[in-house]
Amino acid sequence: MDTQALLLTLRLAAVTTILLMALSLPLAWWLARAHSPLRSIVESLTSLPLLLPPTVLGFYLLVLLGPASAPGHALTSLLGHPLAFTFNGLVVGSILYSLPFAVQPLVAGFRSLNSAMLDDAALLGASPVRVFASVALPLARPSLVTAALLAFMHTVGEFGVVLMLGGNIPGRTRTISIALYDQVQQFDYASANRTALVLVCAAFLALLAIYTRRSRTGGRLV
Amino acid sequence: MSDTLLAARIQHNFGPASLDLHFSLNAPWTVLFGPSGSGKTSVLRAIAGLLRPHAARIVLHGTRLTDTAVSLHTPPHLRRIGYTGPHSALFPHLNAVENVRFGVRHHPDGHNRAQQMLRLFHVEHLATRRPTQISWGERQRILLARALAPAPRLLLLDEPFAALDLAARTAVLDNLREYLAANPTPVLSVTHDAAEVFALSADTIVLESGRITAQGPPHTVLARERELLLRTLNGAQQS
Repeated sequence: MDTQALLLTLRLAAVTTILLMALSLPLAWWLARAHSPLRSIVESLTSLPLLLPPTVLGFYLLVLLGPASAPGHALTSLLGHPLAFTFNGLVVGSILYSLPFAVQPLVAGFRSLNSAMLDDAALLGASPVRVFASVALPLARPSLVTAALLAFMHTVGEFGVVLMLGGNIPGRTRTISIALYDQVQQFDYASANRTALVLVCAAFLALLAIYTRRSRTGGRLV
Repeated sequence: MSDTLLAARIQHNFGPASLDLHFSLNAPWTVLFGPSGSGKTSVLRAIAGLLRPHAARIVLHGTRLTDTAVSLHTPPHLRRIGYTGPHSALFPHLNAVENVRFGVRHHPDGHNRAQQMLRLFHVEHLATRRPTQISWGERQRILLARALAPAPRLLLLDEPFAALDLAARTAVLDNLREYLAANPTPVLSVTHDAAEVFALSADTIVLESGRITAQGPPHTVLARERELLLRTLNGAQQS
């Protein structure tokens, strides 16, 4: 087991999940409530990583964040170094790659809320921000847990985006799935088996937590 | 000075159906009576600010809440209007007293106010219970207590007693009248039940297909329904 890769992966997944939830909550709330014609476009863009091969996303991010592109050049000037092949670059890639895994459960959770209850809150003097914070968020809490778990585990298991955007730099961008790939390349099947088993167990436990919670809420996707 | 509590002119299209009405409230309690689908709920939602009519002017106590001519639409949370509707529900993550306190959270005496409202509706013993542990009838009482806790300038009731039996309905109405006697608040309620209109004995607006067909005391504007009710009661007495 490559402990360094495992710790880096956990750090990447934790940072990604925190930033992703901060981004996804207002986005999902807007998607669940908006009547704007832009909604379908935003929803499609948000869901794009579900269908795109991760290498496609990784390739475009590599180009976009590299110093040859205008945004990449601006970022390089700002940070003093390119984002590609750094931990922060991996965070950006992971946020985009795991976006639908956080947004979709949240949208489903917000859409399942009783809209009359949200109206009641507004008529009791609650501003839209307070309706969101005091009523929608507590009621959609199971969706928040599901979204955070899915985003975390999806980041732990990502491979294509990491390889394209981060390469394979031990201690900086080498995650557990890259370490597994290396172990297989080196015909070290015993280590590969241990690494793979850790990933399988972690994914199974995360899904078990989600489905156990869902069965407690009467099978609703929350 | 005008005695008009609320003046409303509302025009709105819902595909094939439409609302086109103009009325004012001058009595402490007014009932909007009409069959299902006549637009009663939409009228209340427009007054509450939950529906943005295509053309409307709504003035409450001299304050314009909606005036589409000047693109004015006061958002619901700034209207100070109490509302309970058929789909209103207690917030399930809060207990009864927290529910009632929701609208007076920033009030320095909010907790006492919430307790006082629960006492008024005889549900103070449920203060720490969650909605799932409270019966349907008791929930209706807490919903009314919650709607009235912020001392609204107008109370809108959309068939809030429909699911209550006669005894429970009478008891809740008595509590509500007790509150209104001490804290005069105009009420606009909606029902399709003629018996309820006569029980309330309030000024009545009859609504049919989105238009007002009559306004006045119930025995005048609902003479036909009164006759039917009396005939039914006579029949029941003789059987």
